[in-house]
Amino acid sequence: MNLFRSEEHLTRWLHHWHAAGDYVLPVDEWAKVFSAPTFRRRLDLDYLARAPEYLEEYRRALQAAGKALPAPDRILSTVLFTDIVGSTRHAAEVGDSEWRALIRRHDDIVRNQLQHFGGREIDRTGDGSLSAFQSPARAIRCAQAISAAMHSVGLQVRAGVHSGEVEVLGEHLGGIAVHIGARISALAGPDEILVSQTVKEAVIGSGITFDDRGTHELKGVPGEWRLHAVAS
Amino acid sequence: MESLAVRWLFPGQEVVVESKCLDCSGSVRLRMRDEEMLEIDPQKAIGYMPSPFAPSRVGSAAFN
Repeated sequence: MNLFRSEEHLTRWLHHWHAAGDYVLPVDEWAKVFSAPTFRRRLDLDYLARAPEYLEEYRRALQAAGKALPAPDRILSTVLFTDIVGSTRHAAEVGDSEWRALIRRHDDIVRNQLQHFGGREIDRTGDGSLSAFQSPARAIRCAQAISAAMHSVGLQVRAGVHSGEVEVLGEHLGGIAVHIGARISALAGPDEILVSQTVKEAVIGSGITFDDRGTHELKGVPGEWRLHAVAS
Repeated sequence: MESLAVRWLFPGQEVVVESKCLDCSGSVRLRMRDEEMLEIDPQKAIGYMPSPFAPSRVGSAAFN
């Protein structure tokens, strides 16, 4: 942020670069914006990992200061979350050095399969991954391939797939659809790929079959969600 | 790091930002502690910020 002694000084400043959507506020108003939770958490160890989610809080703080904001880009996408089962126990068993090597092999497997199935890596999430696909069937096939390939390095993963509108935040994705995908993944068992009803209906005709896993509440997400496990 | 957010890195402590007006190089002084803005000198000081939400900047380092 650039500071000026008053608005007159800003107007006089002939060389400033002003793009649509740039903001001018009195300092005391900026102080309120920079009191948003996102700025209070900068000492948190996971701050950088959670920055995309905090960006939304920043947006709301600006909105509260009366600044009109452009709507974020929203696209229809399919998100795939994978997570290593029993990672803490496994890491303790093999030791730090071997675990790091396993994680590298895990990452190689995920990236190879994403490339093969046309997925895009969005983020690493602890001992897992978040990726995006244009096609839900491809996301499921990719999850199956990742799960099978992990056996070669002695790992098991759980996976969750959901399709919905997501917000594009640079290279990151945000919005409730991403949270739903994460919650679905967390409910999957070892080697299991859970999908939402939305995904099941979207892939009719693909030959993918499912077992009904009943309705679930997803923490922080309104309503009940019928989930299905990929059978073949 | 935005100057007005730096206070959250020093909980409970007084933080002083001594800056200069980009137009005239005159002093702009901010003093703060946690929630409180203890001093804004001059009182009419304003902040100008390029938006991290402008299409050309989304995902850039502007936010960080």
